[in-house]
Amino acid sequence: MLSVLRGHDGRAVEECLETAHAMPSETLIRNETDRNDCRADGLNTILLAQAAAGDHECVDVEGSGDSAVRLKRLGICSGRRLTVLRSGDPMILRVVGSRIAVSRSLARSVVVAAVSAAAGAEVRSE
Amino acid sequence: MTTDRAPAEGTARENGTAQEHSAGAARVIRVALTGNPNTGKTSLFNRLTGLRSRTANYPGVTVEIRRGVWTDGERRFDLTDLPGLYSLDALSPEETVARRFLETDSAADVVVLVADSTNVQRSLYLASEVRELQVPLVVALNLSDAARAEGIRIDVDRLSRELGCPVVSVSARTGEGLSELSAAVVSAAGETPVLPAPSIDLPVVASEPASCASGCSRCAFAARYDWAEQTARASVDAPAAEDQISAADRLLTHPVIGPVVFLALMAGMFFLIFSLADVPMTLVDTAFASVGDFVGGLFPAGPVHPVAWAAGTVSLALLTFAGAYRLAGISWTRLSGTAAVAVASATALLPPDELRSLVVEGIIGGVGGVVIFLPQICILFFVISLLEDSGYMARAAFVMERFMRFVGLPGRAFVPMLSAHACAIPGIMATRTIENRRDRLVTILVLPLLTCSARLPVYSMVAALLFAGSPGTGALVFTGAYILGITAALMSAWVLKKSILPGDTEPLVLELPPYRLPALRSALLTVWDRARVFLQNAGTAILMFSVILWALAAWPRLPESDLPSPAADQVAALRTEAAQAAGDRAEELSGEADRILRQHQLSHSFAGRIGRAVEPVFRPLGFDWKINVGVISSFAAREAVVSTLAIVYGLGEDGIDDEASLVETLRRQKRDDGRPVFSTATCLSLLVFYVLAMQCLPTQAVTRRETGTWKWALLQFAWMTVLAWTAALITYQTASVLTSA
Ligand SMILES: Nc1nc2c(ncn2[C@@H]2O[C@H](COP(=O)(O)OP(=O)(O)OP(=O)(O)O)[C@@H](O)[C@H]2O)c(=O)[nH]1
Ligand SMILES: [Mg+2]
Repeated sequence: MLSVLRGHDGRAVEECLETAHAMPSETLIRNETDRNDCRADGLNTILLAQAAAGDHECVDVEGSGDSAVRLKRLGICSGRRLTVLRSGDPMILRVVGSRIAVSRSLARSVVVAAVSAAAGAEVRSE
Repeated sequence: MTTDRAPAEGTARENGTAQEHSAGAARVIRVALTGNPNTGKTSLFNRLTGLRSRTANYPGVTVEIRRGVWTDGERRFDLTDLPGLYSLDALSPEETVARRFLETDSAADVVVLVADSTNVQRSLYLASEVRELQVPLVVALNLSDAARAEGIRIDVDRLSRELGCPVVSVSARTGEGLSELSAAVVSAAGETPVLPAPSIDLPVVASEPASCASGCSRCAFAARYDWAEQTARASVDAPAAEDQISAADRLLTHPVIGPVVFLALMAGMFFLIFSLADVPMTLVDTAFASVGDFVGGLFPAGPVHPVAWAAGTVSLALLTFAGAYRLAGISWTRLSGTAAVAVASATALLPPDELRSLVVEGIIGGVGGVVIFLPQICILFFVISLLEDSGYMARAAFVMERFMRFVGLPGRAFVPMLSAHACAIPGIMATRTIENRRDRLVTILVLPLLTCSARLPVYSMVAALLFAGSPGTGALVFTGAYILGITAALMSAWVLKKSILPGDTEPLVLELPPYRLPALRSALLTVWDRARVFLQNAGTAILMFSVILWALAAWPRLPESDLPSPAADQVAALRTEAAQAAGDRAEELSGEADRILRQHQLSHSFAGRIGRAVEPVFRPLGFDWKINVGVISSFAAREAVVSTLAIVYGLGEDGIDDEASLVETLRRQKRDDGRPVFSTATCLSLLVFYVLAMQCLPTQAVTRRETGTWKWALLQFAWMTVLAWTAALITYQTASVLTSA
């Protein structure tokens, strides 16, 4: 499934997400996040709670309370790669080399983008 | 005292620490172990000090600071094990303890950061923070055996340069690298000043981003993780991490299959307990019975010289005290000495017959009634220990989280709830990992409802009464009792959350550790420690209970002339008949007369009066007054009910058939109307009562300590008592109707 991502832009990401069947419709993504303006490169972003299995890049963690700290100190913070291993509630992520289970309610405060093609290829060649 | 500590030995060594500290000639280096949760800090601590603190393959096992002495050749280190930290942003009580310790300048001369060799990058995050505390730091790359097996190579020198501190590869399991570690610690302790920390380009202030153009969410976390990633990439050569969920996890964390596997595992464990423990339990049982027989035979039948008798009994009693004090770690002070001498002299006043009864029925019967369950306890802890080290427990927590969340328990409550299945006390201690105070309170309050190992004897007794010796149905009773405990805990949590402790539940964030092959050695050591605690308890608390209870059941005496008239007539008739009959028949008849006498004596005794006084409370639950005595005596420790029943029913027996096992004796008991005492309905009601009742004084004390007031301990007691009584009532009444129909 991940190969779909290779060498594509934001459109391809959405295709990819739809093939994963775990995704709500495109409009829902837009409504729930409405964060497209937040990225200089115009990549579509979604909430981690909606993310399908596969690689994502963490863009932002909303809020500043203890919950946000709890996520960030585990590496769920901007710039890290989050691999969704199992979606659902709670979901399982791989981040900074370990598996982390996160409740969906917390995953709603995490904004992710599909990994850019270059970064994805780099990871695979490592 | 927490029961999860290795007993006696641990305390002895800890006491040693203080003395050696002041007396030692060379300077003792104080070393603190820190690191991410589950990187093997406690395993390393145990390896270095020879102590046995609890370890398990999931995060958040250690919640307290613990000290020990580590000797390496002639050097001596004062070692401190700390709870794990993901970062210095401590959120929960146990993290705060660890953080405060690290930030106190004078607390440690050297900090050893225990890192996970199989995931260096994650450990580097905390390392970068600890580096900035400006304490001498040594990084110990633990689990190097596991890393090697996974084909991970670490350039230790490179990493050491990047971090600006010594780095050594060690393994707490194989013991490799420990001498390098001590050398690194010694040199770090002597080195002043500390090298500057690697500079990480941290954002100065968390400025409100007006536009999200570039640095919208750049924060200290991100900066440190960027650094950790670069540093790890430069010095670690690891095969690419799989980006798929593993096959095992696919099953074990499945929303439907996961819980089914969990239940199956539990049922399997109980089946194992029953089928494997059967033979050793019978052995222990007959061993105690024949010891009782043998000892009983030692008592002189005829009159003895009073001086010789007194000297003999006093010295025997003092010997028993010496043994029990040694077991319990009580020293001979003026108080304990006086108590021992007083009780010993009192025993000398007992006539031989009475003393025989005290020793055989009171001590051997009472203690034996509990010790018999040792094999089951051992198997339980062996299996739990294997499961805990395998990494499965975190998956169990993962699949059960849905149910917990539904009733308002936080995901973090899983470790406490798992620990409470061994004993509620470490469970309550483990709630220190719960950050939210209300969540923590709810968890503490419901934890004692979960089946602890002290309930095992009761469950086992009831299972044997209900289904003689069939491991399958026995396991079913166990599973049912465990599920009842879990359900009651979840329900109670829900009620508490809806009433006095409302509020949002903390959502789950939990690291799922990698699966690891459990070490047989550590499982066996756990079993050994638990068995020792169990036997210690049987040899001290249960022994004392048994003696007191025996005394309460033996006095005041009822002279034969004071027998109530119908019984007196009956006894007289039996006696005359026996005098005319011959052989076996005569023995049988006079035995029956004795039995009636003993029964009346028993109900005339203090224990009998107490048991009968509370009859109105417990009659609706189907308990007779002897069970009531058991219920009351298990107020402080629930397993005491087994020894109490052994004593109370044992005393009521005719004394001919001393070798009968407890269950056989119980099954023989009849009510006044001739129905058996332990009918199915009574057994079930007793089981339900013991699943739900709060009968553990030490747990109450720990609840009080951890919550700060007696209020919560009392609430816990009241709630559980009401729950137990009501549920047992419903059980008994329903089962009576069903079984009579
Ligand atoms: N193979 C291997 N396993 C280890 C080693 N060290 C620890 N373990 C295992 O790792 C798990 C965690 O060990 P603990 O000592 O409890 O870890 P901890 O750092 O004290 O954990 P917390 O108290 O939760 O912070 C246990 O299952 C150990 O058996 C090691 O060197 N090699
Ligand atoms: Mg530990």
